[in-house]
Amino acid sequence: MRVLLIEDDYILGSAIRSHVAQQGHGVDWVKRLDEAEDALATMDYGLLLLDLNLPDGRGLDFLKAMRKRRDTRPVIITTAQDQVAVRIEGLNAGADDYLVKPFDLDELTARLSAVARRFGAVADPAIEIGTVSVDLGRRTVMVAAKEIDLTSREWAVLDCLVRNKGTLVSKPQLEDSLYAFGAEIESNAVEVFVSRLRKKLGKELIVTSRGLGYKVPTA
Amino acid sequence: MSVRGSIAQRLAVSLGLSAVVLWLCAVGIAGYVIREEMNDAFNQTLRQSALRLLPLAAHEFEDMIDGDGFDDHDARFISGLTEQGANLDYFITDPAGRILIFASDAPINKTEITVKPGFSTFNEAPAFAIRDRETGIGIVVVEHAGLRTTLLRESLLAMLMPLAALIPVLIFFVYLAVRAAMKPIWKLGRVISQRHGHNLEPLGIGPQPRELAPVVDEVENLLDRLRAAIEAERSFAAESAHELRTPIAGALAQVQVLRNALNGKPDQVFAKQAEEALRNLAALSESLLQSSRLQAGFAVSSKAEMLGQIFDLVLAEGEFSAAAGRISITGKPQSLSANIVPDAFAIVLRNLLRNALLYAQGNDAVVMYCGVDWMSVSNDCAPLDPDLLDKLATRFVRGDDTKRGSGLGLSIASGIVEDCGGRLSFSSPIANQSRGFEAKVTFA
Repeated sequence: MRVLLIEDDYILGSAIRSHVAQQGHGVDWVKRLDEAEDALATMDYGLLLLDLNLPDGRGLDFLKAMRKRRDTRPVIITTAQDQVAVRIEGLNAGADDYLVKPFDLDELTARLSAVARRFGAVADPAIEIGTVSVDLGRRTVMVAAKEIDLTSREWAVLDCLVRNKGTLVSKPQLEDSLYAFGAEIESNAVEVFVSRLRKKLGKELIVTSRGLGYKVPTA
Repeated sequence: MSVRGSIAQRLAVSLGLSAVVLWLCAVGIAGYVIREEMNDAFNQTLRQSALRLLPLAAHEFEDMIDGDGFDDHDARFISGLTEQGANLDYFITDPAGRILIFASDAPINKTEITVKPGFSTFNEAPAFAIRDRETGIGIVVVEHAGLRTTLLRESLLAMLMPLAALIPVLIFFVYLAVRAAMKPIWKLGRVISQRHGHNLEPLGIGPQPRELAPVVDEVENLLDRLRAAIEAERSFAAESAHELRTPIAGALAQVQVLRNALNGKPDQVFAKQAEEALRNLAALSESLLQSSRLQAGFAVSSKAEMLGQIFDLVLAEGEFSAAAGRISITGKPQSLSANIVPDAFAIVLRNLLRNALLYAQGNDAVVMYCGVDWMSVSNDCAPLDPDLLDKLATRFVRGDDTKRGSGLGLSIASGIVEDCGGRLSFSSPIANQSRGFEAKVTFA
C-alpha cells in the first residue's frame, strides 16, 4: 500500500516513514499541505497520515477539502492535540482514525492495517486461500498450520494482492505500493518478490495474467 | 468579609433623623419669630388699652370728684374693664400713685404702686403705664404673668405634636423610597456575587442608573480581562502540551525504529530501556500538563455536558482499545451528564482506567458502572491499607511502588472532579466484597 505521510516534524516524520516502509509500504513524506496536494494529484495513495498543525495551514481544512471533492481515500490524523472537540471535529470532517502523539509505532501499524482493511476489498483480516491462511491484522501467514516468515517487501506484495483478492493487480500498482517517490526500483523487482512468495507459499497462491498483472484467487 | 448593617436602613434612619432635626430647627425658628411677633402684638395691646382707657378713666374720675360719687355706673365701668377670664388687669392711680381703682382677678395688697411710664414689669408681668398730664390720673395695664409663655408653648406644641405621629410614617416612606432607589444596586450586587472563579460570564444586566454605570463598566472590563488572562493561561497549557508532545513522540518513534533495527542483537536491550524511559517521560509530562491545565481552571463547564461520547472516544484510544477485552461497562454511560468540560472528563476517565488496568491483578477485568450523575471504575486486587486509601488523591502517592505510575493520575482526577463540585471517593475492599478497589466519581 502506498502511504502519504504529511508531517512537518523531521524527527517524528523520519521515524514514521522508516517504520511504515519497514512494514512493507511505500511511503511519500511531505511537510506542507501544498506539497500534499501535489502528491495527491499524481499518485493513488492507499492511505494518508495527516498531521493537523502544518506550516501552511490546518490539516483539518485540508481533509475537509478532500472530502468535499469526494476524495474518499482513508485518512488517519496524527496530532498532538488531544482535545475532545478537535478529535470530534476531525472525525466529523471525515478522518477514519485519530492518533494522539506520542503514540507507539506498533499502534500506528495496527491502525493503519485496520483502516486499510476497512477500505479494501477484504473485510475480514484472517483469510483462507487453499492451504494458505493470511492474517492481515496480525501480519502472519501460515501454510498448513505452519507459520512462514516473510520479509517486509514480500509481505507488502502479498498484502496488496490479498487486499485485492480476485482482482488483477498491475505491476505498476504493486511497485507503487512498495516504493516511495525517487526510490530506485529494479525492473524485475516485482517478479522477484512474486517468485519468492510462490516458493514459500505455493505456486497456486498467485496467478499471473501475462501483460496484465497478478491476482490471488478467491478460493 | 464582615457585614456592617444595611445601607437602606442607615439611609432611612439618617434621613428620618435629619428630617426630625430640620423640623425641630424649623419649630425653634418659628418659636423665636412667634415670640417676637407676640411680644409686639401684646405690647401694642397693652399700649392701646392704656391709651384708650385713660381718657375714659380720667373722665369718670373727674365726675366722681365733681360730686357724683362712686355710683353704679362707675362700678359697672370699672368692673367692665376686666371681665372674668380677661388677660389684662388695670390700675387707676391718683397723681400720688395711690390706687384708686383696680380691676384684677387677683387681690392686690398694695395701696399704692409706682410704675414707670411706658413698658415695664409689674409683679414679673408685662405692664404699660401712662398718666394724664392734666389730671395726674394714671393707668397701669398689666398683662397676666406667663400668658405669653403659655401661648408660645401651646403654639410650639401644636407644631411639634404632628411630628411625633409623622416620624414613623416618614421613616417608613423614606425606607420604601430608599428600597426602590437601591434596587439596581441590589441587583448589581446579586449578579456580581454570582461571579466567581468558575463563572466569569459578562454581567449582562442592561442599562444602569448614571451612578452605577461606571461601576458596571469597570466590572465588565475586569471580567473581560480575567477571562482573557485565564484563556491565555489555558491556551498556554494546551499549546505547551502540543509543543511538548511532538518532540517526545519523535524521540519515542526514533527509539522504536532503533529497537526494531536492533531486533535480535544484544544492544537491543539498550534501545528498549531508552524506550521505557521515554514512555515514562511521556506519561509524566502528560500528567504535569494535566496538572497545569487543572491549575488554569479548565475543568468546569457552565452548562451540563452529555458525556456518553467521551466513553467511546477514550475507549478507542490505543492503550484502552488494546485492553478492550478487559474493560466492561455496566449502566448507561449515554445518560451521564455533569457540568464538566469534555476534555476534563476524558482526563478523569483515562486516569481512572489507567489506574485500574495497572493495579488489576493479572489480566483481570476492569468494570465501569455508570449512573445519571455518577460513575465508578473498579478492579480486583488485594484490599488496600486504609491509611493508603486516604492518601491516594495526594500527589505522588502510589499504591504500589513497583508499578509504573506517576502517582499523579488520581490526584489530578480528584482535583478535576472537585473543581466541578463533585467528589472522587475510593473504597477497598469494594462494598460487599472482600477484595478489590473502586474509584467512584459523584457529580453533585
